Amino acid sequence: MASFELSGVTARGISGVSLKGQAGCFSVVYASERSGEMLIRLLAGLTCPTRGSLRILGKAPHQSPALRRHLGTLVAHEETLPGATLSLALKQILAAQGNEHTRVASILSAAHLSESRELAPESLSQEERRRLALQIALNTPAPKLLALFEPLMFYDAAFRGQVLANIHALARDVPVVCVTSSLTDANTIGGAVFYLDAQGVLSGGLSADESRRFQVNPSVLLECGRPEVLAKALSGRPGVNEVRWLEQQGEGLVEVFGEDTLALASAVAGAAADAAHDIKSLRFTSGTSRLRSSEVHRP
Amino acid sequence: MNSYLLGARLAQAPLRSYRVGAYVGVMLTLLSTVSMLERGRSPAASFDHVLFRFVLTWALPLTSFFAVSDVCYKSRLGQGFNPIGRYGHSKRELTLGSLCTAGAFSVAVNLLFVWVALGLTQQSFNRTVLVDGLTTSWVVSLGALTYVVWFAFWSTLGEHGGGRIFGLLLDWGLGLGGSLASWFSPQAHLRNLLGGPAPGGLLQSYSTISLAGILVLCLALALRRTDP
Repeated sequence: MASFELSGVTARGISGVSLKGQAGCFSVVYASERSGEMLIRLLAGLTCPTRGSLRILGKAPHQSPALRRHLGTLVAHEETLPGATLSLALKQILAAQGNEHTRVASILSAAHLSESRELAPESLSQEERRRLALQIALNTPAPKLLALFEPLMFYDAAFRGQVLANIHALARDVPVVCVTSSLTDANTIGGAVFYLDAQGVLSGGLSADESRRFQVNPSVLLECGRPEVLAKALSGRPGVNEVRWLEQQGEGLVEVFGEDTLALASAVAGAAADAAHDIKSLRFTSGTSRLRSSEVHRP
Repeated sequence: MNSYLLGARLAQAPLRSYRVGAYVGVMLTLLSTVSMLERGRSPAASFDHVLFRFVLTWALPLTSFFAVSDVCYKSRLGQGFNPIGRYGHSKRELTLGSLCTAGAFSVAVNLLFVWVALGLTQQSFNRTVLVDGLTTSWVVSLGALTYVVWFAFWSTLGEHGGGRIFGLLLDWGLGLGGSLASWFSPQAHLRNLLGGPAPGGLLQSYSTISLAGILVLCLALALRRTDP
């Protein structure tokens, strides 16, 4: 019997997805973040399919709290954990999981959050929340399945390496479903690679040539004060293929294209630091230009 | 800690916010103003007027509405507990615990409104006034609990629990009339129990049973529609 089985699962952003397997890595490359996010939420039991069935060891995760104790999950947008301090919130989670062997301190240390143990959970950044959720997932007691959204999208290369090693170790015994927008990350994780297209339809087992059409070249849309300066600072950085900018009524927009989300994020962080630039907002998009105006410039 | 207790404890945080304090403060100010005006206009019937025109129509449904909205984290019933429910707590049990807290909060706040209204509208306290106050208190307590589960049920409808607003409008729409259709609204039964028009000519004892029925039915449906 398969450890997990999705048959004809349909939900918002997902259309008739069928996938099953036992131990090993399953990388799903998504074209639309909404689809990838929904797939993880379904596997985590946070929402239920509108059609089709999803079973992990024969049980529907949204209907079984006992099963959820053994699911390691990292979702796209980690919400604030309830609790006055981070260590109390974490203690509560470990108690819910029946996890008596893992210490709060070791999870916080692995998530590089030892210094924040007495802080309120709402003070954590999204990156910190994701690091913490990932460490909780990797320390799940007697895990039945791991469902991880962008498990390698972290700035710290050493942290990424450690996560990858943990994923490979766990995948020997349990299914690990990794959902990512990066074909590079999917290949790094290894295992079976599937493609979730913009319509939410899953396909897999394609040749390298066929798979190229599913590759999503990610882009970042930045709102900033001096777009020309930032665009210059970004162009030529590793991982950046193209930079476009425009300025309208005092509002500046810069659009950056690349092959890998993480490389793009590093390039933006580096350029913003070098140019001492104030970025008002940042949005990851899916490779299609959002700047339609004829006023677009290239540095 | 089991999921019921955790749900009850987690629900305390949103109900202890400054916003909730401000709401209670505004309602008390309005209640005091209305009570003083009614006392000047018709001293004998002022308590009844305040009760029907302010407490039953506005304070009771709105307090329960906001309490449920807060313990649902402005979302669909049970969804607010996703961050903890995903690690193995039952969302249904967490929800039940949180509704107990919301119910206790709504009862306490509405009893405060009743006794403040009584204190401001009565010239002197005697046995009759005390009995009147106690009778009103149990009816308002039953009403507060019924409203909490009424809104909890409506919070299971709509992607972000938007059905709550429909529940509020439905209660106001049906409850202020005396037709048979108003049987479905808690407002109509509460009015009947406190001497107002009876929905479809129903006896007061049947209104008590109806309120208890709405409470049990809405609670059962709300929990049924929440993932375990």
